Amino acid sequence: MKLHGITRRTFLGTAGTAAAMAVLGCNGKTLRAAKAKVVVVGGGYGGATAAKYLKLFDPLLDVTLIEKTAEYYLSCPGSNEVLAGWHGLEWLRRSHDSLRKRHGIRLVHGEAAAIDAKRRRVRLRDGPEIFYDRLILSPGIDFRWDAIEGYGEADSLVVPHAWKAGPQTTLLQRQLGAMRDGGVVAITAPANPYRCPPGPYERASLIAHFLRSHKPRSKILILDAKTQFSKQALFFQGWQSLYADMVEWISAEKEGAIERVDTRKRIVATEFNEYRCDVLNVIPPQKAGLLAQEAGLADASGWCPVDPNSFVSTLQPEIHVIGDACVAAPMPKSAFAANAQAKICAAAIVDLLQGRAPGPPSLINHCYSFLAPEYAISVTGVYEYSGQERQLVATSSGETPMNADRRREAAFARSWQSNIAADAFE
Amino acid sequence: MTKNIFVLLAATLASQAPGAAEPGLPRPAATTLAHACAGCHGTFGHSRHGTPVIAGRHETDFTKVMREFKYGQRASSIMNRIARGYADEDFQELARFFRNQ
Repeated sequence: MKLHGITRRTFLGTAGTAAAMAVLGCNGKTLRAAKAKVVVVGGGYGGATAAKYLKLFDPLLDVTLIEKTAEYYLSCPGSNEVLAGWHGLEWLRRSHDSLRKRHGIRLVHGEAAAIDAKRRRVRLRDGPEIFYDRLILSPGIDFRWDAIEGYGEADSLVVPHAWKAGPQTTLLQRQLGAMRDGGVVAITAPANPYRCPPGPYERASLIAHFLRSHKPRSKILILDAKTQFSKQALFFQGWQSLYADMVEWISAEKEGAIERVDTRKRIVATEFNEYRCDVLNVIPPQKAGLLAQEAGLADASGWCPVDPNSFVSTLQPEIHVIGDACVAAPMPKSAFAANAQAKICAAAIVDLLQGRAPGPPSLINHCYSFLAPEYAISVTGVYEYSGQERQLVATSSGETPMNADRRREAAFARSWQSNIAADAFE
Repeated sequence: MTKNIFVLLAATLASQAPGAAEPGLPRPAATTLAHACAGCHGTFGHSRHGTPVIAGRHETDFTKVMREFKYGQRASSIMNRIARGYADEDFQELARFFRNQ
């Protein structure tokens, strides 16, 4: 790939960093120019993109990526397709090798246990500390295990959430495979905000796709904590044309809150009713990843407030938060959004380290949902910064037109999966 | 459920895009605008699969196509929605950026 388009920017960046970082020794001689150190925690779509683009914007930066999985990250986008049996789990693997070999990013396999903001250090679970000039956290989500009675972390080993790809995906897939024909699959969907707003409905669609050919008398219930959801009209249209009466959505308007789960009997209790099912998938309410909580980066909402001009935390200077963990409304929590935010954050950090004010940001989010292998829909937003509100505003938004070609959108969805993976990880 | 669909359909059709950005404020830099495209069109516009490669596109052609998307003169299920989010002068900046990739 030709990269000469950034040459001018790179050249300026290089010169700027060298000058800004040169330090004088006490005898007045210039010591070896120290590179500015940026540490990124979390090697998902947000963190990987941030690390890569920091190096593209300023190759002289010293960039470290801390990722807890040893060999590869498992992509959440695409995990519903694995659930439906279209691909094996290995299809979701994203390696960080290119970031290391091709982009010169230092890769640290380990779990970031704590942040010492005063001394600007990240401490790893097994002891060592890593110093930073600027820190980017892309920690993703954690679950609110206290939100639904009867559904704590241990319960997810029996009734999966499958909202992080990996063993949870495999567990739910096995349960679907073992279910009797004529069984009922119940999915509980959380209130906003949460990771991947259209995800529960794509999941229902793809489970329906699997069941229609393997266990056609079965049914899928979505018990929703909301009264409306992302791409609703498009999902309804698709369910009707593809799966007839297989998928039923039950609004919070009808059933009230999801109050209790009995994982042994597979019962979901709402305010007004009880639903017994054969396979249960509870998608619990969420909050920013634990590390962000412990570092004092989250507010009472459980998410991390940022100034989206640079994604710097409004609670801790010199720490930036991107991806699902941050509050970037009206952007949804998605891999696409994390990728876009990472680039704004990386460019802003290069500017800040070189003593420049970051320029105005521009971001896109575009999320596809599959309903069948040749049937996909999407939702789009284009975002800019409102200086007065210190938050993002949508300059355009919209969904797939009701009469648009779903097969073409499915082809673009596959193309997106390939391009975003390369843009973030290669 | 059928009734819901029609209610929602009507709501979707009625909702208008907020339109172009606030006038008077400085526009985002060409690089900032351009890197947002990479999610679908590949890093620096070098799409690997499916979506058009926009790197190396002729400048006039790029600007013309984006304007047509924005003003609905060219049909697309996706790019119409995206192009409406930009000011006309952004297309010129993007065209210059991608021509050089």
